Amino acid sequence: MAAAVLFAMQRSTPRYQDLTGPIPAYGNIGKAASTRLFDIEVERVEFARQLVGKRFGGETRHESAGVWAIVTARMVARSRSVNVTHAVWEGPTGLRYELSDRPEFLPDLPPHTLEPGLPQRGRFVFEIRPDQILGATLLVSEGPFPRLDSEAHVALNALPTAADGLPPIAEAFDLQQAGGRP
Amino acid sequence: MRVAFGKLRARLAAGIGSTIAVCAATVYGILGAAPLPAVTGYTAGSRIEAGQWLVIPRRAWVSEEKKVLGVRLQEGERALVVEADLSNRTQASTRDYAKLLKLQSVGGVSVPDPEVALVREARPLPLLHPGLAERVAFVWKLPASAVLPTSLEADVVAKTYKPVDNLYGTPGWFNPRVVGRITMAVEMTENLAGRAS
Repeated sequence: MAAAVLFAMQRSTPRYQDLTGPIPAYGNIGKAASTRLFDIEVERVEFARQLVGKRFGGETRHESAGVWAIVTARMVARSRSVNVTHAVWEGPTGLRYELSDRPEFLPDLPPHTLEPGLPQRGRFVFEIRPDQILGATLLVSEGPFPRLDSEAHVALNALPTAADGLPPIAEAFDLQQAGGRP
Repeated sequence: MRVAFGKLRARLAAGIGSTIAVCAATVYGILGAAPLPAVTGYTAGSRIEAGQWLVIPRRAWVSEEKKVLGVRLQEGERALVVEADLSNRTQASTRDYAKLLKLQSVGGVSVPDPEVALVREARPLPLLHPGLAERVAFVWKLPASAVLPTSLEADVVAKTYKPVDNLYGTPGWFNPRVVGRITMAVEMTENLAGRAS
């Protein structure tokens, strides 16, 4: 009896990592998530096979083994200037896709410098598997390892779906098109 | 007799720690002296499950260019390149592949860790995402003095997942060990073929 209780207690003790982990601030598409440092409201989630942009005058084209997910969000700092550098696309089974490092020197990509009282739009670009599209959560935080600090958890539900049950996936997405500044 | 037995028992009890230590040392000595088990051999095209990664080696080649798939070479250096398909089997995006392939010494020269580049975009140090296979190149920089091999051997080093590590109690990948050895022919450019061994 005592052994069973001790075993249960040992198994159910939260780990240091859980105790000091991020504190979620929930939101969903159309409903802002309020973290300690900034508010974020996801406006659009788009998917594409290719990313197109201009870099140093030439056109760049990024292909992917999966699909590109482009999240457009409206953000504003709460009380001081904030650099939002980190975001994760967490799939329905818990796979964590970090921000893609491939699109660079293109407008409206992280790090997003936010100022209090000046809302602005920004994009987060991920490279994901098509089976991770539905039921995903966007996690956004100031730095890469939010510990004992709030992290925005935006449920990416209610995506418009096509006949096959998935949201429409465009052939190409132009990162140069104005989606950024309000 | 009784007294002697009692004495023996007391001595055993007093020396039990040392006895266990001596026995354990003997057992480990015997195990350590045994020949290492042969590692599995792989060639180009084999699917290798290596802990965090699913590796499919594709081809190996050498180059004298200034820049090989985005990796810069110094004057006189040459690059030995292994192209492989890498698929991330873990839960999160990672760059933990620098010690995945360990090249056996080339022409008597020991080689440092490779630089890794994404073949699709000639981009060094790519972030690889869960379940998305990408063709990457492991680029070893060889000094000009190294004799270029016509075939190479590389150990595949895999780590093991621990849900709770001993130091911080966090999950992670630890304890690298060799799970196989890749043997591949090295493709030569015409310029270099004349000088290879």
